[in-house]
Amino acid sequence: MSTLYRHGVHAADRLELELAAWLAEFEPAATPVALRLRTYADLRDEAVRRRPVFAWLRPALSLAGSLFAIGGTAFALMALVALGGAVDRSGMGGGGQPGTGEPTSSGSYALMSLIVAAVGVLAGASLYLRFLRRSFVRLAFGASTVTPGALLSLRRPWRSVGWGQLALAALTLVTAILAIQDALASGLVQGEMADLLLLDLGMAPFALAIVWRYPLSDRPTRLLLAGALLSLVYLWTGYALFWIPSLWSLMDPQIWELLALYLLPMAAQVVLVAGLAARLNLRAGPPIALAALFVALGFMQTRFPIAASPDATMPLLTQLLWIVEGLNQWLLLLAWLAAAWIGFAGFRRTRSRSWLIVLAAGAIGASGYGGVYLTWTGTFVDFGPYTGTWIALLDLSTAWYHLAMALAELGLLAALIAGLRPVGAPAPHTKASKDATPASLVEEPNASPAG
Amino acid sequence: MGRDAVQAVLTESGPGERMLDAFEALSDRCLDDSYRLAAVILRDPIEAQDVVHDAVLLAWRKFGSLRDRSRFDSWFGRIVLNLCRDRLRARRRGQVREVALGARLELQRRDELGLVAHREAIAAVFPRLDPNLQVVVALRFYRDLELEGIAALLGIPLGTVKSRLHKGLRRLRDELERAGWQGEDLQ
Repeated sequence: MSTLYRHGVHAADRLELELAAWLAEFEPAATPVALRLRTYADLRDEAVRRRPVFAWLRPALSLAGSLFAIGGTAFALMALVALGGAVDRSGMGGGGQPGTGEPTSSGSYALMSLIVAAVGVLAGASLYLRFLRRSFVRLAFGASTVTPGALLSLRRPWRSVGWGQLALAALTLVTAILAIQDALASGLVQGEMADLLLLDLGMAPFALAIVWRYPLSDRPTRLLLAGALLSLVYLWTGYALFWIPSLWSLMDPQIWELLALYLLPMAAQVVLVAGLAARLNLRAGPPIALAALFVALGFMQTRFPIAASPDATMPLLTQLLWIVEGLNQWLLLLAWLAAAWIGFAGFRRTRSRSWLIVLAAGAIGASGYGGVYLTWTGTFVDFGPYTGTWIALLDLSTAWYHLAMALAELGLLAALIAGLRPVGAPAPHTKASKDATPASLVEEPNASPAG
Repeated sequence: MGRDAVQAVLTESGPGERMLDAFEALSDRCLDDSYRLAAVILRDPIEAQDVVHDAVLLAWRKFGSLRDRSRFDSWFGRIVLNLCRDRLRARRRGQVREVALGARLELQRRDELGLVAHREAIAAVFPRLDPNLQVVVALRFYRDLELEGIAALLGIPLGTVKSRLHKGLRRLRDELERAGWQGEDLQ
């Protein structure tokens, strides 16, 4: 117990006295000699270490660069909004939904664009606020700094297959059959539900692939699985709404639409990509200039749902739906771009071909939105009325969107099955080196994936 | 390293071996005190060692920016407190540490007046306070500093110290009452 201070002289009541006494319990008896030795040895090392020239300038430049990038992005977005609004008002063409040929009819376009732009800039900028970035990193990676676990073996005895995996396999099979049936019976599903039910062969087996190849005890695996399960829920919500029309009457149809069409896929994609980043053990984001470019591309992507939005006399929920649709497309595009970035970073660090497939899948997924930029170009370059080549281009871009999504999802599935190796994990062993390495360090052939 | 070298650092501004010796003497003077304070604030002697170690290195890197070197002690103290606060913040994002087993056994041995129950309640509630509040409360009740002294040490206005202290104690009382402490326990 210390005798240096008279603890609690300011204590006015029992609580404060107890508090003072409790704090004093933690006072160490003496300073360890090792602390002095270590501190002053390191101090001497620090003193002789050469400091880089202009080291003091770096933080200032970094901050200025960040602020400039955020401000520049904001300015660019506002300029695009103003320019787009002017073009629309002058009646130069485009602005309808891609593939629909609808002209712009938006009275509240500029306002909606401003709202989306402001939300986007705030969201983008917030990622460069340290505490928010740390929160995101913590959300994705947790408090643990442990490298994600080794891959589980692709081949394993039936006895080691758990009930959960069998159930997921059955669900995957049923989902795949339904998706194929929908694809074959074209015309069965119409309108916006077509987008929902199209696919989705690629995403259906994600959950099964994840529990098969990755140890569930890892946080990244759980994130990946959560994303995959959300996408299954998204698919099945669509099927349920299609098969049981009375479900629509349970809630406002627009709320169903909000949930089934926008919120679920957004959540699924974002969680899945966070899982990919966690699996790679990648804690650094892309350079801010690249991030700003992503945000700007995303904004252009969102312009079209907004441009086609009805006027301000529509109910609030309808207007909200338009904004959420814009944000949904924005986020999905950003998620694919993020996947491409993670794939690139993963390949650069691990030289693993699986990450290369992730990079390709992300790039293809993002390119699926290319048609939108074609339409965007149409607002500046007068291609003439919505006929002939223009409509063919729009149809082509819609077809490419669906093909790109299917390819990207299949690519991601292939990468998940092939096995995503985190940074810091041992490199895959060659046949020669495998002989000298204990099997437990290479893979866990008999380990339960639930373990 | 004697008084001469310390005096030298107060007048000398150029870098060099003599400067390092003087810095070492200045920081060594504060080391014990800083370590004790950090150990109490962090409630963990190992983390306190890390904080003091980091504070010395950080102080050396920033030593050139210290204009009034006669105020080294308070400047160094502030570095230590800031590092402690960072650690507390990082810890809040992780898990709350339990009281060390040795301390628990010691408390149980002396639990004639229900001290264990009271201190365990404090131990459970105190780490949940905001790190800024924890630092002010520790300076007030462990270091027994006057409010003005705390304000000077932390470099914040007196009113902020008062409000943090008030808020910290009020939250402690609220939490303890919620945990079952009666009014007379708090008086």
